[in-house]
Amino acid sequence: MKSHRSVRMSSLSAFAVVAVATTAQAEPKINMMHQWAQGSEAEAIAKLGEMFEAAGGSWEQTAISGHTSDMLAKLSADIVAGNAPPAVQLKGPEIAQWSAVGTMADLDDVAAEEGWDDVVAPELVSVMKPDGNWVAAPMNIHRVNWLYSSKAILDELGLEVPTSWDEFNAACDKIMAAGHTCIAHGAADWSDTTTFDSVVYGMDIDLYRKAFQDGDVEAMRGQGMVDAFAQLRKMVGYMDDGINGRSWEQSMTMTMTGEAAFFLMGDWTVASANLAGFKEGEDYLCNQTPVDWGGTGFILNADSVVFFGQEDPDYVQGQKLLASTIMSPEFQVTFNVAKGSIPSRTDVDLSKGGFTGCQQQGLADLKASAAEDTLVRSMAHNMTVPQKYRGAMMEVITEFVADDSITPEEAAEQLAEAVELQD
Amino acid sequence: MQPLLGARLSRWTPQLVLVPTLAAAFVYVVVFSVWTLWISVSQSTLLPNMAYGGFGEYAALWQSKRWIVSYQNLFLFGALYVLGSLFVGTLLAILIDQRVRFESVWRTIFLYPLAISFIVTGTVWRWIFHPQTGVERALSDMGWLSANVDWITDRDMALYVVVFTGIWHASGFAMALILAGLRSVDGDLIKAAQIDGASMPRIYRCVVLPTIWPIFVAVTVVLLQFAIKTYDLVVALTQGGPGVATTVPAIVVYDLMFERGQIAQGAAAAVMILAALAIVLVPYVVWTSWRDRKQGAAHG
Repeated sequence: MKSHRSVRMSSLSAFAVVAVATTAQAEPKINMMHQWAQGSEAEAIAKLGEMFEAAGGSWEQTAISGHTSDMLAKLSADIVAGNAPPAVQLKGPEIAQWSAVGTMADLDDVAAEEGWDDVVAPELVSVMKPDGNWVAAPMNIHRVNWLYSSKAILDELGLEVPTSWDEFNAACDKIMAAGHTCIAHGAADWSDTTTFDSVVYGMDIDLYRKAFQDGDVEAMRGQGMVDAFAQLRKMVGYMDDGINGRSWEQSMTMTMTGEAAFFLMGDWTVASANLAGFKEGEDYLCNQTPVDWGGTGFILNADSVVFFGQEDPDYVQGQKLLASTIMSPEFQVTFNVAKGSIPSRTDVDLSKGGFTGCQQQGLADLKASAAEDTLVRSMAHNMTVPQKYRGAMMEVITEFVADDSITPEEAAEQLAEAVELQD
Repeated sequence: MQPLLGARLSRWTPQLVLVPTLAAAFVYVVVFSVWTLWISVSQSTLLPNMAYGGFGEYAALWQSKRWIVSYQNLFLFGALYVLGSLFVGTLLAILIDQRVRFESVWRTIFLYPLAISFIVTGTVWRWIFHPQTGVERALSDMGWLSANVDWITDRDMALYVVVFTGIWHASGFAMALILAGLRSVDGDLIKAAQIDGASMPRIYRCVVLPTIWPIFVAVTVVLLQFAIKTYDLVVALTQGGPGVATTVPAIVVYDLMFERGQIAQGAAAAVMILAALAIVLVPYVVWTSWRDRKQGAAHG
């Protein structure tokens, strides 16, 4: 703590000298609003602050712990008060929504100078440029469609990791017959929808794009969605009866300890599992969730920082400096090793700096998927449609998981209706 | 001059002292309610937007399954929670009223749940009810493998788990007030009934409890407003699940306003909660003022 403070003091005093020397120049400063108040994420953000100060900026942060909605409430209050924060952690369609109601900073200069368009994953570029200008900087890429397998159970039954949904069902039948739980799961709207993301995407990628990225209600009513719900129903049968009230960490542990065979979850699992002492390749295997169209699949989720327009030239300078710091390979490595994700720029070498095998596989798959044109953004993790559509869809999906009496046909119809109702 | 001013001042002091309270109450109750009402028919989305947008948000709200389930839950939960707490509270109060030994110890034990926050209550009971951490696990560890206590994961039973937990939390409060009421009953009344040869249960049913009925009304009103604003208990206990089976209106309002950027629809939902509160409280207020007038007339 003490050394931390002295670092900050010395960089501040060094900064003061510079400021005296160049009084006419703006002093870059920033205040970043975010929700990473605890644990490894808070440390990663503290690191961002240190790097920002080392680059000559003056760092302040407003950490709002708890649910994202608490931060959004503070954000709307600030914007209504005409006091938009210079930097906020926001993601996906929220960037476009907020840029429609607020004035955004323009980062095109920095982006052109550092060539962001060439290094950032293509699916992300459109999200960061809702109106054609860079208004946000992506911090990382999470992969949502990971399938974690218990090595112990696969070895015991002599099974391979399934690559298509038919193989998956066949494997589950064997695993259930051997007396194990096949899928570890903790039911909640977001986790049920995370699983369903992988199901729809793996069964029919065009359906995924139409229904979950474009919000096309006719696609939601179609036979493809009915089939996807039928698969989800089957998968609920492969879960145990304790899914309600179980956290995702508890479900993860079930697969890691060989109590359940599979676990479908994003790559934040890697960070938690390794922290808990489980070993990749020994306790668990990581593969992409099954796809029926035989290619590399990648469902993407990304955290980003959005910059609102500022009057104060100090903040304007600070925004450019922060954006540049976030996009620096050094920060991308530090931040993503801690979060289990991969850098948002595809030109970082993951063989150095402590990335795990799963993370390196993630980057390789990201590139392959971009080349095969199979890269999509995650609906479950708020990267595609606005929150009101997403929330309405999640209600239907989580109800379907909880209630056996809803047929797949009814669920597909309810999904379309729930979205139509929002307009 | 001086004494006149002093007299006038002393006459106005009570009113002056009340002004801040009245002003605050006016702003919080009237102004904010009207503001919410207006927001609910405005075009607000992510941010409040005061332009008139019509009643579409109410229509959309009433077509949403989650809202309908939560509104039904409000009435079902409210009724069972209040009646259950009153029943258990009365029972406990009567038992303690039998001049038991260590009375204050029992009173403290039964009153204690009220001192525990809803979040803690919900979390602990979730552990107890969850098949893999609670009673079912304990029974199967003891060898009863077919034990089946999975109400919290059963969508038809989960709401009753919430009701049960709510009753556990509130019945001590009901007990404390009812016990105070029982103690205030004139001993002569009971003696008179005993001389008439009435049994103890009959004395309670026909003499004691009817005498203290205003306490039941007061407890009911307090518990009802707890029921209507229930949020944290459900969030900690079931997260509104399985599916949407145990969602309550306060959760929907919060989600719509702060999660989904639908401030107008969230305000519409809040107005519907206000309507539910009015359904309960308006008859109570009308009845109290009617009673006061009747008493006033009787005394006058």
